[in-house]
Amino acid sequence: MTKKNELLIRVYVVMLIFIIAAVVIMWRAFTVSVLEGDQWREKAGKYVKLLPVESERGSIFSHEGSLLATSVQFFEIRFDPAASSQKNFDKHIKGLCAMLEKYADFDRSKYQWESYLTSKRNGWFNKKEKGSRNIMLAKQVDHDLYKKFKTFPLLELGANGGGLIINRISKREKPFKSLASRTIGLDRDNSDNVGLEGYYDDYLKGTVSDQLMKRLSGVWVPANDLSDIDERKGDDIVTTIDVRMQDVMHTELGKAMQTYRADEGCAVLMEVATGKIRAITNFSKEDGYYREVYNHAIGKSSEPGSTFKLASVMALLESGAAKPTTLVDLNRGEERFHDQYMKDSSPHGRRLESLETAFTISSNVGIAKLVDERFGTKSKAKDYIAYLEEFGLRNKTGVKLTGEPAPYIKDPEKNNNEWYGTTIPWMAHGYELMLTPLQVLNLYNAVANDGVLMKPMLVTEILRDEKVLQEFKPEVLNDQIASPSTINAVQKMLENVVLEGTAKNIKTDKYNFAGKTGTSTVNYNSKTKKKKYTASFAGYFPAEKPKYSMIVVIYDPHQEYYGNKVAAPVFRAIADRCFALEKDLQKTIAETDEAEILQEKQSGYANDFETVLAYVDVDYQKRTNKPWVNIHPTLNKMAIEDKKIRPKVVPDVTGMGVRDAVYVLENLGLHVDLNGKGKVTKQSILPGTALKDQRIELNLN
Amino acid sequence: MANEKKSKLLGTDIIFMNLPYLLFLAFLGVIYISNTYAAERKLRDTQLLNKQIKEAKSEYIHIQQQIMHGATQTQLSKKTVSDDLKANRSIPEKITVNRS
Repeated sequence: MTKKNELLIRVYVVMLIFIIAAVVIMWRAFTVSVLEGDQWREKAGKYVKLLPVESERGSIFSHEGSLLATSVQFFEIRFDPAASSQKNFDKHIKGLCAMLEKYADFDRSKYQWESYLTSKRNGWFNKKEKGSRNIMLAKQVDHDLYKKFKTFPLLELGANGGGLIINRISKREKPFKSLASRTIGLDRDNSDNVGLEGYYDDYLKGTVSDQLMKRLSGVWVPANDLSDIDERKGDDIVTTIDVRMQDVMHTELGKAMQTYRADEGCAVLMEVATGKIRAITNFSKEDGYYREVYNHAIGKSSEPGSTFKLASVMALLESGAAKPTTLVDLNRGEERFHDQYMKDSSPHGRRLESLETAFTISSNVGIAKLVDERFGTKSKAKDYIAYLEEFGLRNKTGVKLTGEPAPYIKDPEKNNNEWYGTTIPWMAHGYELMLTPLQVLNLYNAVANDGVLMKPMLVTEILRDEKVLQEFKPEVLNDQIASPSTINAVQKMLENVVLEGTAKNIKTDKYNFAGKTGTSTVNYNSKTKKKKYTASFAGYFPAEKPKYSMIVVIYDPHQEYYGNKVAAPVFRAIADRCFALEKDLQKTIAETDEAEILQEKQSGYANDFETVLAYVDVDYQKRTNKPWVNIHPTLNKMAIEDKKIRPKVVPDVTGMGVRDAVYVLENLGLHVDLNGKGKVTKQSILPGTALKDQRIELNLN
Repeated sequence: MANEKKSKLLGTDIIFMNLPYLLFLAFLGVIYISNTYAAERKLRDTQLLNKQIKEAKSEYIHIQQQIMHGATQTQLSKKTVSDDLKANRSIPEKITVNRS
């Protein structure tokens, strides 16, 4: 063999090896991709998947920044009984089961739990059917309980050693529970979203898209570049709701609902100048409880009754047909219109009264008569409808929430078949037409706002990544619904309703407010059935410079059904709390230039007097060093003089504040009984009497 | 002579000459691979941290929710109002003093 041949053979051998290798590789590639392709692809699928990227739903905030609705994580807790070693399992299973008896979802005793879990574990190891590595312990636990579960025996060892399996569930939560819950709304899978959650769903939900994810040591991560993810967190929404007022309204309306065992009820508090809804509450009776399940304030149309008289009076004044002083014959509260009798809510003997009085005592006859005289014929009725249109009562308020029905107000032409001779007189006092509570309130708000009709609003801002994406400004629907003189006149009438009219039972000397009661019969056509009523009160406060308007409507109350008895006290209670909450509403005790003379005797602690006198810059002369003093004015300054308090003698405590008096007397060893509050005006034991262990009674002013 | 030159071409000289460069390429390869692993580990950590953030956030909200709800007037008065302690229902008045 030559050297050359030897070399050639070597080359061929090497080449052959290469060729074989190539063929083998090609064959493997073929089998992997074609013959076994499906199997491998399936396996690969377990590690690379298209998964929906959950973008977190935006939150809903209150006006002052409290969370009204947000997404919170809840936990589903499962257990793998085969994950732990036999030693750990035996050691901890009893302890675990004792905890499960208390905290797990299922009603099993600890012994039942123990035998159940043991059988599942053994079943799995012995490859029997009843074995399982995935046992539900609790379907939905909050964070507190989740943390507790993590400390249970065995479970504290974690996923691999202990067999704890956690699934996270995102759930919508309302931190303030039922407060305004229907208005905030629901985000649900099985039916349409409602409330703000529904109306602003497009913003709140953010973007949801499928992403290619791969599994890396047990964690799903994006398969491609991280920047690939176009996940966007849902936008946040800032509402006009004020939680404090919402809380007050919820409590006060709830109390009234319970007292009068009403069917349904709602209340809305609105800021006069802007139309911002500060509080909105709805109650429906469900299984004996009052819950927020329907937004009556926005979605429920009904005949408003007397609260509508405001619109009638405004139409009368606007048309010039009547003045507040125009006289009308109330005919003792009963009158026939065509074939129907109309009665005032309670009998009275009044005949000739002014329009203003008819309104303040809420006389159906009086208002209906004047309206009928002016707008009674079909051609003139068009004018009445045109006024209602001008007052904004023929259109939706346009509040941004689904479910607001359009007002139902008859038109003499379009609703020719339903137009009777009695239509106008009945419309005049709020029947034969349908409005929602919010639509009625909006009229009162416009009157309070000197004739500027606002669009009620619930949302002020949409935030994206904590920056303002969209801002909603208050919207004016009509900048003058009626002439200033009409507005002024009805403002005065509404104040009079509270001062001396149907709502005088709720007047207060602390502030002035204005409003109108409403008591409407619901099933007036039925002769047999027991009558049902709707009690309402709409108004605004403070009367001089209205800040808020409010309506309270209570449907089908029992025991009592008049608007002034059922709804008005709720109005008053909420208004009271608003005054307590809002500093700008509180009256400033006026500073007057006139000197007020101290009438009664004033006694007390010397240091207190000195502090006050120094603060208000009044000269005084101190003639004693004793702590307890009398104070009285002299010619040009105040004089502070010793109040004689001696041991074993009952002192004179009249003119002292209650705290001081009690302090002094109890230090001397007397027992004090109090009547009233304020300053002491009378004491039961005369000053100077020798002191024994006895009771003394103080009368306070 | 020509043969000798050829064998040199196929022989070790040229490999030796380029060895540093080849090593450099191999080094780059190693860096590339380790970088990929590091990136994946980071990705995984991010994902785990995200989970922790979510959990911490939900815990925060859970606690905040209890506090906020408990701080409403209604809840407070439920807990505090008794025979001895009553809610003040009177309307406050402001005293303003103009000091000149």
